[in-house]
Amino acid sequence: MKKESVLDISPISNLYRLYTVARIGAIFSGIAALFLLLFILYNFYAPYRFDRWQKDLDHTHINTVSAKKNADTSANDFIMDGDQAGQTGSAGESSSGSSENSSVDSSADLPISKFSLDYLAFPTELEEYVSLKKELLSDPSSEELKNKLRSFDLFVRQQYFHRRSNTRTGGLLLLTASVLCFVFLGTAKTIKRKIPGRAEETAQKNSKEYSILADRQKIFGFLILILVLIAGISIGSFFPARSELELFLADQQKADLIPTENTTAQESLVVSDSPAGIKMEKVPVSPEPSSIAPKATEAKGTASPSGPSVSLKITGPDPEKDRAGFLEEWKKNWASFRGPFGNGLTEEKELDKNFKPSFSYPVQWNMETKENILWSVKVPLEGHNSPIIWGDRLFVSGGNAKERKVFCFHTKDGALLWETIIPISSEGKIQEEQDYETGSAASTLAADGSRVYAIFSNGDLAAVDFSGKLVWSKGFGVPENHYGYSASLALWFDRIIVQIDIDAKKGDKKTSRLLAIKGKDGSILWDLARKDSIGSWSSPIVHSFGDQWQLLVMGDPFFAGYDPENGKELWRYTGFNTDVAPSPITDGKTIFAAHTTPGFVAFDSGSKGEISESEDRFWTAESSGLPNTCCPIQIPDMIMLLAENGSLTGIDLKKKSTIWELFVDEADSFYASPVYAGGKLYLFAKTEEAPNAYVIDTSKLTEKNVGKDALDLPEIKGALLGKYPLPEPVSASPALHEGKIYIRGKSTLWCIGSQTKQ
Amino acid sequence: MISSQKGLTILCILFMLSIVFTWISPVYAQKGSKPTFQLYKPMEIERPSSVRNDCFPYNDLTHISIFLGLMVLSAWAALRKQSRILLVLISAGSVATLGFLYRGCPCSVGSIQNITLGLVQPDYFVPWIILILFFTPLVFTFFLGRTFCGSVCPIGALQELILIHPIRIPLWIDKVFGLFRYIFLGLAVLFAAGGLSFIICRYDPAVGLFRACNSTLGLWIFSGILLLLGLFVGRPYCRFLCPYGALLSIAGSISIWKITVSPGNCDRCKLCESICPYNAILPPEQISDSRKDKKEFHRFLLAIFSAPLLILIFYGLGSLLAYPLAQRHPIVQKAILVHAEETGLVDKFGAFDESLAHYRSGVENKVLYENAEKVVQRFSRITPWFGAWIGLVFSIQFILLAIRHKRENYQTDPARCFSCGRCFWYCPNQKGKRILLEEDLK
Repeated sequence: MKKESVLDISPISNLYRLYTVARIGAIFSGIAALFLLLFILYNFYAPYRFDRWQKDLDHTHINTVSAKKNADTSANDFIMDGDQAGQTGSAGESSSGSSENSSVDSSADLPISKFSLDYLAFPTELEEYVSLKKELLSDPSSEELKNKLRSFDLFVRQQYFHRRSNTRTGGLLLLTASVLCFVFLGTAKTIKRKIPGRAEETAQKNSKEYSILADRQKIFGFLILILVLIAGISIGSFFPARSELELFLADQQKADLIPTENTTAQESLVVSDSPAGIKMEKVPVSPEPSSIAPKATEAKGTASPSGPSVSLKITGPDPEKDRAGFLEEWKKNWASFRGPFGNGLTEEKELDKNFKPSFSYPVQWNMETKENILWSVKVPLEGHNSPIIWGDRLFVSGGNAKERKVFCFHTKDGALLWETIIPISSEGKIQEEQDYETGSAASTLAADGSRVYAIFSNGDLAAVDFSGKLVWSKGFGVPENHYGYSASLALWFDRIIVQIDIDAKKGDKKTSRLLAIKGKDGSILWDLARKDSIGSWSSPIVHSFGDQWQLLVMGDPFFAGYDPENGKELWRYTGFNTDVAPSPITDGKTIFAAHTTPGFVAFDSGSKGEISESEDRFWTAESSGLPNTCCPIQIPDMIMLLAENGSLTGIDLKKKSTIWELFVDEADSFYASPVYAGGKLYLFAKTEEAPNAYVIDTSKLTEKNVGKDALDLPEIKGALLGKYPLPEPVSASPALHEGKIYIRGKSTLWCIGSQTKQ
Repeated sequence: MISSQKGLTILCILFMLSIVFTWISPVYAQKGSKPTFQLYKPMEIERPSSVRNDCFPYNDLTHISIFLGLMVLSAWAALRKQSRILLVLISAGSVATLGFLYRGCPCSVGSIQNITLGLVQPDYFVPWIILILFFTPLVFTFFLGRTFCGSVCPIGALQELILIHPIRIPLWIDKVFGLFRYIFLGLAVLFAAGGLSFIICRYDPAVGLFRACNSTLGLWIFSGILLLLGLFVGRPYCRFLCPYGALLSIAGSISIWKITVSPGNCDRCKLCESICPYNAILPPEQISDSRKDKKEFHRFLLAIFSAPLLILIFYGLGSLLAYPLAQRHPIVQKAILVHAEETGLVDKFGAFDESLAHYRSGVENKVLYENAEKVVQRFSRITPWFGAWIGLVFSIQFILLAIRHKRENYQTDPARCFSCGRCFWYCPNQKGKRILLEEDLK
């Protein structure tokens, strides 16, 4: 039966007119709301029109290139850029631009952007963004790429905010239309509302429908179903989560089994193979790391063979309290210039002919095919300082006229873990003219397991902890010398040795200095004025001679030994002059030094006072290829000298004389000091064009094989194991650590190691 | 015994006084009184100008005043005046002010989470506005029925206004889906107590509408579906999802005063039951068969005695959720990623944003792992109670299914009635309402 209307509406009544208006209003507002909804949806899904951007870019590019051409251009620039533009995209939207410009045509390759479900988020995942960023990362100095990325970013932002604005306006209009629609509909519905059916029929029907007795079984059944569903979800989600979480929790529980009283630091160590101990702030480090490590390895069980710890606050034993322990850790790392002994060796036992080294270093690699190149990364700022390593952390510094930074990379993959800006002190005001070949960051850093120390060409010294936090910094004033400051830091237990040699002017109160700075807080332990010394670029070396430690400092005009404890001068040899740069070396018994003037010298370590050339303990060797920058290197029974021009001299330690001289390569020149491992000598050239690296089998460099005829290295049979092109000149001495060679080029850091082991 | 009318009047006066009191209350004193030492000179601090239009005060005080005012009006319109038109106007006002003007936040529905967090974390201070938003509707519901849901809650009011062509859904569907509110309530408390997220706010369908575009596409779609559904099915969010509605249902079922459809004796015309879109009108029930009574009694006993067992079973099942939920916690996620990199499962260190951020923070790995363990332990403590809650809810449902109430007349179900006032328009005894409408429009 037809339902009765509550109100009797006649067609000519006001009520009917109101009803009609309401209906029409509802229809129109509904249609408007629908159109607005479609507009908003279109706003969401419309792709970004990159062809417009590309047109603008090309137009700008054409003008720029034309200007360049008028000045000094080559036609290849334009063509190459056009080709590169064509490589940026894949098939997609085609441009309606003219065919005059090949770059415009290349816009046909630009893809339509993928729509992100989260339309409100700025579309950073657009393919163009990703590809442009990748391009820029591979060539960060390219201004063109930077401008391209900026223009693209501006374009996308304009479009993005335009869409947001449209969406907001559309949304407000949609809301208004919807509200009006509902108001009209509600009004019409209210006017036309009907009595809900015949009471009796409805009541009978509804009483059956709504009788809880009839529906109880259905409700009960569905409730059980929902309960089973909930139980199933709980059980089903439990097992996968448990497998992941328990693996993680079990490891932590096992780590907790290790006593925490003294060795919490070493507990963290045990999850890694890194020789460095890990210290927790609250707990002192154990004095017996060797006793802890095996136990923790058992507890860990699943330690990854290559899993160094990633805890950033890696510290070794406290050098103030546990010198022996610290020394053990120090020897395992390459934490200062030319390694733990300052002589380019990883282990002093390398000087023993029969010694089998712990790690084997690669003799073959290829920078182009990446054979045995484990990783290479760009160092954001240039510097000639050598990389240093402690545990799984590699540190270098870089700088320019505006900023100086310390960088920390992970040795496993070269990931940049942190970079810390070193503030410019008031004493070390920025050098306005940076003509120096040495640059702002030529001095190699030093690390002690808790902090890494860096000094820059403006005399600013800083300490940064292993998490990248600046601990302290101080300035010693800009060292004035004609090539720029480059003396690397030396580290002796709890202190850093800083050699500052300057060109003292007449009447100037400033003198060369030798300082010992406490690593923990930067306080000066002793400060020795070396009044007689003038500008030099050598680095101090610290070495033990039996029970005594000596600090060996080359300079102009003298080479001296000091007690690192108090700075007391122990001996002195006067003879070096004219741009002294190479550092001395020692094997703990004899001290060796070489420079163009006076040449190669050697004397016993027990010397005291002024050393005279007439003494028995003193001897020299002649060479026509004396070094002016590279440090000597000692191998079993021999000292080798590498000159800048590539001349390599062999000095027999038993005969105490030069036994051969040869040329590595006439085309290559060298600044980086050689390093030696496992019977192989590694040299890296600094030649601007086509530099090379050399791997030499030193066992073939005998007096018999080489002779005295100054042959070239390739002529000596079996000596040259490899000559490998380098993409960039290398001025920094390499670092050796656990079977890997770390090289720093002009702007790149490489890690060379056997890929089969990885 | 105070009559319902007098009681309502007293409550209205009390709350109006509370509004006045709030304006002059020591709330202002919380901002600090002037120091008394002689050298004190008040310093003029230039306060930044409000980001929004200064012509309307957007502070919490105004918000709560409007809220309380609407509560009182709604209760008066539903119980005293029994006017559907008033209730519709109040609903529109609520949507406009509490919804669009104040962007629906803070709201009573989401306040559950703040209260939970305040109970679990000693250092979390629950703002006073949240306390008022949480407790006021509960108090009103306990005394006067669900007048908050009818026209004050902006989400509910919105759904009320868009219900154009109500379609009644079968009661059993209503009851079954209505349990999801309790599950959602349990989950909201669990997530808030565990420090995961405020899921009520995260899945609030009105967020996109009231906040104009500050929403994800997924939430827009969810809102759209609910609104579309709300055109035909009355208040889908309120009936099936609202966790605060679950609390109000419990409070409403024991309310002292409630809406009565017919001011006088009920004629049993069944019009109210037919027109109510929420299945909130309970028909008369006659229980006569003694043999059926015995079966009912056995069912009742079974429901009663199985309740503890069900609660225990779900207590155990709830504990299984500890690991899956702990996995979602950001600290645990970070710890898992860092651990994977540390043990070599992932080749590269800092491969994830979370792990890279952790390394750069300088926090040691062990500290991170300890914090993650604490999170897992926290979830292990609280998830069983969630399971127990689910067990309790379902046990109560089973018990209620076994219980039958004798009713002589048509009554509103205070647990389900939203005080919308639709029934007033059709009850023959509400002559004033029906005649008023006809007379107005003639």
